[in-house]
Amino acid sequence: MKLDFISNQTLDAMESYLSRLSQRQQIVASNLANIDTPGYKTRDVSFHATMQELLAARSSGLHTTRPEHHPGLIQPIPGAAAFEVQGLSSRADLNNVDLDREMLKLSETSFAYSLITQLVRGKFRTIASSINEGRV
Amino acid sequence: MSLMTAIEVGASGLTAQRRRLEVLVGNLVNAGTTQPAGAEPYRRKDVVFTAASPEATFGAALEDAVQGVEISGLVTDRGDPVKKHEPNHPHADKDGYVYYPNVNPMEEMVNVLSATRSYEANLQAVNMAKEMQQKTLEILR
Amino acid sequence: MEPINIGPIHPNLQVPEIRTPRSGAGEKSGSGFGEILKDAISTANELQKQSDQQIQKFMSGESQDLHTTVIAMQKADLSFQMMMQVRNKIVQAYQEIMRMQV
Repeated sequence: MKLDFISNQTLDAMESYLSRLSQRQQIVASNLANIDTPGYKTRDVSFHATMQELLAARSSGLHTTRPEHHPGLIQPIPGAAAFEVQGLSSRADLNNVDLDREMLKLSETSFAYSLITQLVRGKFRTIASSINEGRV
Repeated sequence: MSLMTAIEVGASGLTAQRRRLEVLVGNLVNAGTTQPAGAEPYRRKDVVFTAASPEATFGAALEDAVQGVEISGLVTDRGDPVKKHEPNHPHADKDGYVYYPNVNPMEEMVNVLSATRSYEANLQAVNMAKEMQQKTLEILR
Repeated sequence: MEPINIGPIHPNLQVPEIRTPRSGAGEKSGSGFGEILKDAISTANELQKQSDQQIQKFMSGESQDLHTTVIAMQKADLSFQMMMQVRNKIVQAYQEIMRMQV
């Protein structure tokens, strides 16, 4: 009976999900920084992801978005596509960033991140306890 | 590293809003000033925001979706100065009119509040990103 | 040491057979430590799977319940530790028995 702890699919997916949440955090920060930029449109990346998406994103390898960046220095990109958010109203300068919506997304993202890091820690603790408690 | 990018993006927002605030305060301070007849009175100024890519740190990949902001320039409001009839004012022209800056203090205060709110929002973004970094390190504990 | 089979001395006198005590996880007779350990392992495994499922549901948006996820995680962790303790106790018991002078 195999108790797969260290090479666990769920653990891999969680790692990928944390990348996704980091990416979302970046995008929300970008929206907020540009709240007064004329013509700027709110962007987002999907907050939820299936196991397949997460595992696929993890193995997508390194790639650069700019030619001057050397591949060796780049972190793997989570692979989720950022999209423009529909249904927001624009102001006179054609900017459609909604402060309250972005603030909500901030706390949502941050909270999910805290939760998943806690759960990852829990998993590792289980492994550690099996190593420590194994003494007879 | 993408959390560092989030922090930089937030920081660029902080800088931009702060500069905007400085300009707005300049408008308010000069709202009641006048110039001798013939000279241009103070005209309202505003900042221009443009999206800008944050500086790369640690070789972080710049995703096209993530952009910081910067002040690309200062513009002067070309609106007409406010004419007031004050014949006894030292700066009155031959018809007795004094030209005051085209600054509406109420409007400027609203802008100041908006800049403050945006500043605080950017601060939240930076703090949240920092908190997420902390949580990541806690996995090791 | 071979078990001594005590049979009836007298045809009419029935003496019950004494079974030598055996310990350890290899016992097939159905009673005792082996079964307990197997149970503990399968429970731990099952709860582990459930906990993983809950986490996946949270990430995919299927389940918004924070408490379900957290509780499932705790259950899995505790049952795993329980299993470790069961194993430890069995090994201890085995060693103690092995130390016995027969």
